[in-house]
Formats: sequence, C-alpha cells, structure tokens
Amino acid sequence: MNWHFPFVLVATVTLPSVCSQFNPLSLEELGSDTGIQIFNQIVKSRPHDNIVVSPHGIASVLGMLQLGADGRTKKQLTTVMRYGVNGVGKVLKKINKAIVSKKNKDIVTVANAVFVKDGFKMEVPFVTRNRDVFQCEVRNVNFEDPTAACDSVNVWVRNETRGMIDNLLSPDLLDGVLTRLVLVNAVYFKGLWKSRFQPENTKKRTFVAADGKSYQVPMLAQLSVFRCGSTSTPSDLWYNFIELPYHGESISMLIALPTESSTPLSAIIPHISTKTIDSWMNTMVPKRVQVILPKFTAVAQTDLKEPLKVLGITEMFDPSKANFAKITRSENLHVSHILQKAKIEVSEDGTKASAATTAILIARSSPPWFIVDRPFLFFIRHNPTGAVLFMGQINKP
Amino acid sequence: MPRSCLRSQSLTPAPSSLWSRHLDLAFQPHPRSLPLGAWSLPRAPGPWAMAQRMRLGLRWPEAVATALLLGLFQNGMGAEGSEASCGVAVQARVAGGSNASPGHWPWQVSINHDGIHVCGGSLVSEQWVLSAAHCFPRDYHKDHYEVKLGAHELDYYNSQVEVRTVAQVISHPSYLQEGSEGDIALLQLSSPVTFSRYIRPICLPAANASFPNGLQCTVTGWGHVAPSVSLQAPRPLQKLEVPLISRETCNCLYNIDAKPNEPHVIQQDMVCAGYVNGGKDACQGDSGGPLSCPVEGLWYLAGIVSWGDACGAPNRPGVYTLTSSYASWIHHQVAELQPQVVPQIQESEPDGDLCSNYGALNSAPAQGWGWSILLPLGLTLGLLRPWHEH
Repeated sequence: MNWHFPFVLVATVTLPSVCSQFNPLSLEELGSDTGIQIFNQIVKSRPHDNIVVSPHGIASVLGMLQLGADGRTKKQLTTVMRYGVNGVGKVLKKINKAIVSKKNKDIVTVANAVFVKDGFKMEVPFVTRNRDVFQCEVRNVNFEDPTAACDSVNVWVRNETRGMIDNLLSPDLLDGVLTRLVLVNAVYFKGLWKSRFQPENTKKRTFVAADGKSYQVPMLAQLSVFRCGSTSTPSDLWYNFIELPYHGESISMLIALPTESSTPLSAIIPHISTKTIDSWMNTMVPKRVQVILPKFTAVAQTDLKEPLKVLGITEMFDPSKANFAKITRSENLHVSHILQKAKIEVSEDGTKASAATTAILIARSSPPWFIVDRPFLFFIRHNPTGAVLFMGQINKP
Repeated sequence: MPRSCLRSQSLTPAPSSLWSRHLDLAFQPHPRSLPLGAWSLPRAPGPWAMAQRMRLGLRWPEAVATALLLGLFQNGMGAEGSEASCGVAVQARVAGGSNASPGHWPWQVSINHDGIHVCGGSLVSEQWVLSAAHCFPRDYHKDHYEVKLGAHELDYYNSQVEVRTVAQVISHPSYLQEGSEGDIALLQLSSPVTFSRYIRPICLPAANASFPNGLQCTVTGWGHVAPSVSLQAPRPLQKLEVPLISRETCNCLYNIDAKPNEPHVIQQDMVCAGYVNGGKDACQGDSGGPLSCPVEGLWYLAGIVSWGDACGAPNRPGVYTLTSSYASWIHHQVAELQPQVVPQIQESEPDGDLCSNYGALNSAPAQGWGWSILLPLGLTLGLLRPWHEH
C-alpha cells in the first residue's frame, strides 16, 4: 500500500499596497512570525529579487495542514508554529474574522479552499474544523483532466482576489493520477491611503537598485504627518521606519529602510520579527515629514517547500513519512507543492488630500525627508491583531 | 523657496523684470519696486515718489556711478552706528533669473538643525537673527541648531561664510501652532559676527511702519522649488519678487474654495505677498527667512516667511509674520535692537479688486459692473507704461 497522493498546497496572496503591525493577540503574531522566518529563508536564496509573501497566508495554510496532520508530521508543524490549531481554534477564528471585518474599510479578503478529487473521502472533523476556524470551503474537482482542474482552481483564485492573481497553478503541477487535493489560501487587499498622494507630485526620481544601477522610477511624494522612528540591529546597523496608514485606520504599511545606503537589506532582515515590529509601533512618534516613495507593482511566486524544510518542517513533503491521517485514512497523502503568489500595487490612491489635521501642515520650515530611493522592506499589518498580511523586499521597483 | 515656476517669469512679465535688464550694479533697493498705484494719482507725490522720479531722470551710467560712490562710503564708514547700518547691500543683478547673486541679500542666514537646513532667518545685528517661532519646536534643543551667515550656495563652503551656534532662542509666547499668531523668534548667536559685503543686517521696521499694498518686495531662501521638490545642488539662494497683499484681501482670497474643516485665517500680525494666480511663492524650507521691502534706498524686514496653503496655489499667497507688529516686543527683548522709522512713501491703495475680480470673473459681470473692472485694469496698464520707456 505504498500509494502516496501528493496534494498541491497553494497559498495565493494579493495586495495593492500595505503593511501591518503588532497586536494584543500574540497568537497571530506567532503565526505571522512563522511567515517572517520563511521570508528570511527565501531572501537568503534570492537576495536581489523582489519578494512578496503573506506571512498571515502562510500561517493559515500551515494551520489548515496541521488540522489534517498527525504524528511527527503534526509535531513538526506545531513546533515551528509554536501553537496547536486545535487548542486555540476559537481565538484563531476570532482573529481571522477581525482581519476581514468590514470595520476595517480597507478591503481584505481571505479565501481558503480545499479542492478535492471527485469521490475522495475526507475525515469529517478535518472538513468541519477547517470550515469553522479558517472559513475554508471544500470543492470537488476532477484532477484526471489536469488542464480543466487547473482552470477551475485558477478561476476561483482569480475571483477571490478580484482579478489580481492569475494563473496560480500550471497543469504540470497536477498529476492526473496522483493528485488528491489542492489546498489554496488567497489573500486580497485593496487599501486606500488615509492620506492620498497628489498625482501631480509624482515625479520620476532616481532609485539605486540592489545591483548598484540607477533607475528613474515614478515616485510618490507627500508632505504630511506620519509616525516614524529609527533603531539599530544588535550589530549596530541603523535603519529607519515609517508608518503609512490606510484609510480604515486598522491597516498600515510599514517601511523599513537602512539608514546608510551601504547597509544591505540582508543585514537588517534577520533582525525582524513580529516582536521587532511591535517595538517599532511603540517607539514611533508622529512627525511632519516629507515622504518620497516609489510607485510600484510587485508580483512574486514563491515555492515555500525549501524554506519550510530549512525551518524543520520536512516530513509532510516526504512520501514515505508524511502523516495526514486526519485528512483521510484510506490513502497516504503527502504535500508535493506549497506555492504562494502575491502581488502588491502601491499608488497615489487615497481617500483624502492630506492628513486629518492639515492645520499643522502649512508652515514653511523644511521637514525631514523620508526618501525611499534604495532597496527597502515593507509590511502590511493589521494593527488590531498584529497580523502581517504581506511583507516584501523591493530591490527594484 | 521661490518656486521654480518663477523661472517662467516671461509668461507674466512684471515691471521688475524689465528693470532688472538695465541694472548692472547699483545699490538696492531699485526704483523697480515702485508699487502699482504709486505713480499717478491725484495725490501730492510723497517723498518716495519724488525720489523715484528723480532717479528716473538720471541716465543709467550716472546712476551706476552714484551707486558705486555710495557703496564705498558705506564700506568706509563701517556698519555700526550710522543710520544706514542696516538694509544696504551691493547688488549685482542677473536679469530674469531665480538664482540670487552672492552678497545680494547679506542678511539672509540658513538655520540648520542637526546639520540639515530647516529654515531661513534674517540678521538684524551683530549677534541677533530674526526667524519664525515654528522653526524651533519646544522639544528641539537649541544646541542642535547652527546659523550659517554669508552663504550663497549651501553645498559649498567659502571663506565668506561664518557659522555660529545658538546661545539663546526667544520664541514669541503667543505662538501655539502652525498658522497661529506670534510666529516670530529671536536667536542670539554664540558670538558676534563682523559685517562684510556678504554679512550685513536688514533694517527692522518700527511699529508704525506701513508698506503699501502692491509694493514689490523680495522673498529669498533655500526652500523647496515646488511642493515636495527640494532645491538642487549646489543649492544657490533663490529670490523672488512678490507684491504685498493686504491682510483683508488675503483673507478674502483664502476664503475662495476654502475647505470648511480646514480654516486658514490671516491674523492681525500677518501680511501676505504673492500672486493671485499662484505659481510663484515661498515654500517649505523658506520659513523664517526675510520678505525684504525697499523704501528710499534701504531694505526693511517687512515680513518673515511663515505659512501658506501648499506653495504657489491660486488664491493662496504666501503668509508672512508682519515684523512691525513685533517692533516693541523685539526692542523689549533685546534693547540694542532698534526698529527704524520707515519713511511713509505713500498711502496704501485698496487692493480688494485682487479678490473681488475673482468673483466677477466667475459670474459673468452685469454691464453696470464693467466699469469698475475696467478701471483698475486701465490704471494698471497706465502705470506700467513708464517702466517700459525706461
């Protein structure tokens, strides 16, 4: 009985621009932390690429898997994640609801689904727990026709991400004989800046990319009051950070930029965790500041398999060791792929011309400048929970 | 800073630019600063108007010679003590440009915070600089400031430049927040400076000083050349001629298309200068710097760059702290600072048409209104003519 049925695990992420912060619910921070660790692994192998991932999406997908895992496979997952989904299901559910709450105004859509081979028998608790905690829907699909199956997954993802994420899967990832299920997590975020960037202030400016070359890229400019600060890594490398809030007040983009242009992002990244981000949030002070920020779109597709293995999640990928007995007892399953595709768009769009208190923006002293004209990190953070919806490094906008 | 748009001056030729083409070397102020309305009018000409006419009667070479003699005299006398120890500068002019000439505005200083230019200021004595209160937030310590005097290009050091730390900052107590009254501050330099061609004080106007509406004054600074666009290296000092606008008219302009939740009020201690159409204005980084107005051969610090809605927006002229309203405060704080009586050159003409024209243009004027609009226009054209002839 050495049948091993791979299932493709897909996390899809979309974001038009933002970042997030810490929260009182440290559970979500643990989840996002796992995602940040994975990001650290990814950038090690691709230091000069633009990378965008969703730590919250990674945590959701791993959580969904955890519900179906057993034995050592489950142990590895809980060890890295530092929590068992079953023990904290209620809290997780609350967090997941808070993130998509209409109160946020910013549009966040998190869509989770399991695409199951027609006639495949799943354990009932796996289905109900996933539905309950992750609002995960179960859909049947005929993997024997990989092209059609791929299409139906991609159409679902495209709809859930309002067209932002296209072609998540390619048919060659599906095995018509072996594939039993595809697990998908999609995150879509459309934020409008609380303080809009005036399109007439957008000008081409020089961005010095990670390769040392200068590029002329359109950059947004705004004089406003933003919370910002600076800190250093344990090795005394300084970097600055700034919070650009979205209009619903609950989601913000955070940007971290090495103070010295000679400091590479790779020197800063290992220092960053949800704890670090929390400390930024606690030390930032509102300042009248002139912000210059590239207008950009970044799309990145990432295979999370290798980074997860480095963190110690190995068994679920191993056909001879993977244990997903809680998904089904009738067949041996393992994870063949875990993909995430994320997209972010940063533009001028916002809800109002300037910060709430424009009265403080009329004086004509020269404000400090926060010029993002070299590689930077960004985070889109749901502040009430601390969930990091997206994070990325931009080496060349 | 004066906006870069001022480089497109040719689009809206002002009388001043016509003048500057003729001037090579002369003492400031130029007669070019004749306010619209100063010529004319069936009033007895004031002393200033007469002086203007006399100057106009001179041929240029003579005028230049006179100016040079005066210059030597001034330098020979030294700056201290004499009546004309302030507000005098040797000025070599560049026509139509926005870069100032070195030594042209010797009272202009750059105020740095942690080594970064944040504001301008005006030298008013060997040891005192006048600037804007908002340049010195309460949580900033005076030790972080430095004053650079005699500078032209901020990015290059030259031997004329003097740098002083700040011994004392006296902000006016009524300044509370951006846009509030009292946006004025006195800075005591750590040690006195020696006046030179590049470092000289400007005259402080006395409390009763009245600068007529429309008077062409000059704002100078190293601020942004457009919103969110900083001055490019080597950052030469920028100058821009701006006509004075009365407080009442300015309030009227600021009420056009005003956002109800963002009221901007021109307070009693403020004066405006600039253009109804926008495009030319001071901007971020110019704060604290001088609005220098010429009266009978001397430059007076009529205003201090304070605030404005964006920079160079239509109907949003620059707003300046009216220095004369703080004459007694200044003297009270620093007894050695003596505001000067400004010769009353003329009565101020009403400038309400700057704002009411707006309404008229936007609601097709009835016939009966035509005259009141045509009249000021005709007057203006008439006033411009003498300038063209000279």
